[in-house]
Amino acid sequence: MDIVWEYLTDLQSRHSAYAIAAFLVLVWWVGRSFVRLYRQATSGAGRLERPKEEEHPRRRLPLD
Amino acid sequence: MQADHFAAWHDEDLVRALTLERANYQDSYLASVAAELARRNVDPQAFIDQVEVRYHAAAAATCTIAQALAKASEELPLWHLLAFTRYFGDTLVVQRELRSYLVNFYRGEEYAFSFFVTEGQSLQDLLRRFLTLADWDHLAGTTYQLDSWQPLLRTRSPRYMQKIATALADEGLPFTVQTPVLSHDPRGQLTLLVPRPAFAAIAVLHKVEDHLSTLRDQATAAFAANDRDRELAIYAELAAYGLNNPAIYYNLGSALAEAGRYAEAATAFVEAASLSLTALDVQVPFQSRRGTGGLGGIFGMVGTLTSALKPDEKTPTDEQREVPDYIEDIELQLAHLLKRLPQDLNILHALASIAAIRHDVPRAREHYRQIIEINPADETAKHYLAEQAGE
Repeated sequence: MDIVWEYLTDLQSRHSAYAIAAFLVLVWWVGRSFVRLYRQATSGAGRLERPKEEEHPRRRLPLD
Repeated sequence: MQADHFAAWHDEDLVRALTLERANYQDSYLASVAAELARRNVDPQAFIDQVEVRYHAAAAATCTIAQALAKASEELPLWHLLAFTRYFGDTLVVQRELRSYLVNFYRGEEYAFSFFVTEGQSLQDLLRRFLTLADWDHLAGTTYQLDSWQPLLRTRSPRYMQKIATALADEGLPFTVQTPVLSHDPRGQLTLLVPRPAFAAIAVLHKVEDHLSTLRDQATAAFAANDRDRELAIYAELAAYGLNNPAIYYNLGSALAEAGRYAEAATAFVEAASLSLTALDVQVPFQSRRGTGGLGGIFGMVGTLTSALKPDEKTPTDEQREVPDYIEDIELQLAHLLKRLPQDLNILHALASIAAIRHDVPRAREHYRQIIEINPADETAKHYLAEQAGE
């Protein structure tokens, strides 16, 4: 791992700049995938729903 | 006076001279007019015994003065109108107020002034004189120009309006409530009008609002202290104000359910659902909310629901309408209560309405089928299922 870390932090090298950019793209892609999965599960026709019986309503609502 | 003097006069002109315009003539001339009418076999009283009465928003009906007075003696519901148009065209519009009657005078089609009459008998005397074309102005007392009055409050809740009106009446302040029949308010709101300057009336309104604010704080404190009896008493008082706040009925229902009073809890949750869905669809007609509460509204809403789900409109079943989260809470509470009260049609109707408003057709259909199983003659359920079957 040290070799990878040194490779990434070696900012004098052009290869490292490419590697950092690729790493950021990878982080963005993984994050976007998670967001898409979350949206798919919570909305639309195929959303994942708990049965009504398992959900719990609030005991009181704010009056204002 | 010679008979040919009146040759060009129609019967109506003679009667008008003898009644409405008698102040313009000397007694001797009026005697001649009366004699001419007698010669023509025209009874002035019988001639004008043809008036129009209109109740609230209904069409005008022609009747005799006696029939009109009989109509006026009937109990008039709060803020309802009764209009009397006499033979020569002027109109008195009587509105039942909380502790009096408001009388609006129209010269022909043009509004002239308004005044209050406190006693039913005084109103009868006034109307008799007005319809028989006798002098009546001296019975009017203090007159007002409602055009210059300012709106103090607008609400769709008749109960809340009645509370504020009672507070104003207790202080002896003049006011009137305009219904959508007169104001043509698109949201079906009642409007409370008070004379300018309205400092005293505003102070009364603020006093009531402060009291409500205190009650809300006390309800929250009682819940925090787990004092259910006190909480229930406060929510019952808040509910009596008829505020269009679903949270009050929700919290009342929740507290009642926690106390094991399931049937009462169901009534409160259905009221909360009715208020919530009515607020979502403001085009629900004002008259659909019958009585003092909003229970009728849930059924009156069905017209909106079914019209919203007509095949020619874009309502794809896979795109459900987003509703506020408190409506989901109400739905959950009702779903839990349905297990204890499976035959409760009000719960089923409320659940079906919520599902239909959300465009959750399968669930709405399921609830309406349950309703049909309990009551095969239920018109709302039959109508909805027929609409869906037609798609």
